[in-house]
Amino acid sequence: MSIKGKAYIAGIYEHPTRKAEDKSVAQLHAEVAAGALADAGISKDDVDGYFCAGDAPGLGPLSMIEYMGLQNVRHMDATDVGGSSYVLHIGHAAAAIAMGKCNIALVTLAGRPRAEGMETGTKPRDYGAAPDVPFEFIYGPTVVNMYAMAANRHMHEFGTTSEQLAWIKVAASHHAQHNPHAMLRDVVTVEDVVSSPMISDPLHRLDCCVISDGGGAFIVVSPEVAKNLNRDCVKVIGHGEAPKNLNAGNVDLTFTGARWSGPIAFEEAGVTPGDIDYASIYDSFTITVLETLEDLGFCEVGQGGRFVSDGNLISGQGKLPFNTDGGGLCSNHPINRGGLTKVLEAVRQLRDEAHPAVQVKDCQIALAHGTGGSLGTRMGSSTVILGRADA
Amino acid sequence: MSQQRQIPSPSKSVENVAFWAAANEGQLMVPRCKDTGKFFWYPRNISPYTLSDNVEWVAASGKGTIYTYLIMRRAAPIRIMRSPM
Repeated sequence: MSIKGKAYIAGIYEHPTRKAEDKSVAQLHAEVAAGALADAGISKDDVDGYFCAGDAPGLGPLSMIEYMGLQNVRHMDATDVGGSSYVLHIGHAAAAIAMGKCNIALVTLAGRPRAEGMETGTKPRDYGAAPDVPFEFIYGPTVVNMYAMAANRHMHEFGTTSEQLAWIKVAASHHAQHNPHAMLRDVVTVEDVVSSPMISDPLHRLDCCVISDGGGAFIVVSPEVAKNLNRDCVKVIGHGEAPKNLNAGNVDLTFTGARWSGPIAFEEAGVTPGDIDYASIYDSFTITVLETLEDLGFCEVGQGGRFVSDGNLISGQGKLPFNTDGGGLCSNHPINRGGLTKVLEAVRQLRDEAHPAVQVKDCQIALAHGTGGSLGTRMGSSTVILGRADA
Repeated sequence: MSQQRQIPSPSKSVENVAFWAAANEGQLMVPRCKDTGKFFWYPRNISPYTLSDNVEWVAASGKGTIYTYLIMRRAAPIRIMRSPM
């Protein structure tokens, strides 16, 4: 059993807003849903599967299906593994479609942390009754602190430098200059990154992603539905997911769950990292990208710093074009969950609909990777491999 | 005036009350799985090695090795200008 070729992504939409003062979270979910349905050429009453995560208000699917007036949903999935949720949802939707549970699955993400004044980066998240909270929350585990611990250990073990990490931001900024919706469109240099204010040593301000409102959606459909749509659909050819955590205190912060989710996805797709023409890599921080690239096998473990240097991630220049929309580092990171937008840019690349300045020539196979939770503690990792409809 | 960081009291539950009671006496306790003899962290009543409740508290030596660290910076305090009364 495999999901290879059993499902297609038929429609995508990214909300152009980056600060949504006059829209509710539910409204944003509905707007991205409408956008993706219009892109696919599908009516809302044809939707028979609905997927969302913890950013959806209320009881997730129950609340949003009512709000949007979806009349024919017979399959629901509200798996919440933070920012990796939406990449995971592709695999779950494809499996559900392959089993005949639904034919047209809608996946939405939306939120407004800026409009609501959420202290995203500077206030520790309180996960309430979670059993780890009493032993971690009191020490001030802000998001950036968690990732700084991972970065420091990676530097200690492998000699990774701030300048190498900075190249990841430099590449993202080269791409973001062409995205009119990106929050940060100025091209930056390694020097700009390492001389930006230190937030949590060794991570500088420009090692951190933006904080944005907005959201996105995509539609996963069966091969039969895809065939009858007047739209360029993208084939789902492989998927993997994995949890990673502090492992009873046997801590290793130098790698991510991509070390496990990646090989599962590659095996299902029947391809190797060398076959990937374009990669969307979750980029909450530069260190997130560096560790993920190593874990997915794009380079040897410990060699991520060397791999990302000298523009190797810049489209048209380097060997592995990544995050050609500017990613979370420059464009957006809706409700602090960047997994869904990673899928969107991978689909654009496979449809030849990325900005011409960053479009990968003859892009046949793309990878999208989501990370949820924290590199410093417990995370979800999900990898999806997509191909052109004729791949 | 600099703003002092507020450090919350640890949340206590039936599962960790013994840990915090010892901590109040100045003793760091580490849980150990009695089936495997292995220590684990964070404290809980179930061993993550065997899923059994055959666990015990052991007083820590107080010695350890730093695995990683970070230095969090804070912004310069913002001076709030008040208009004259």
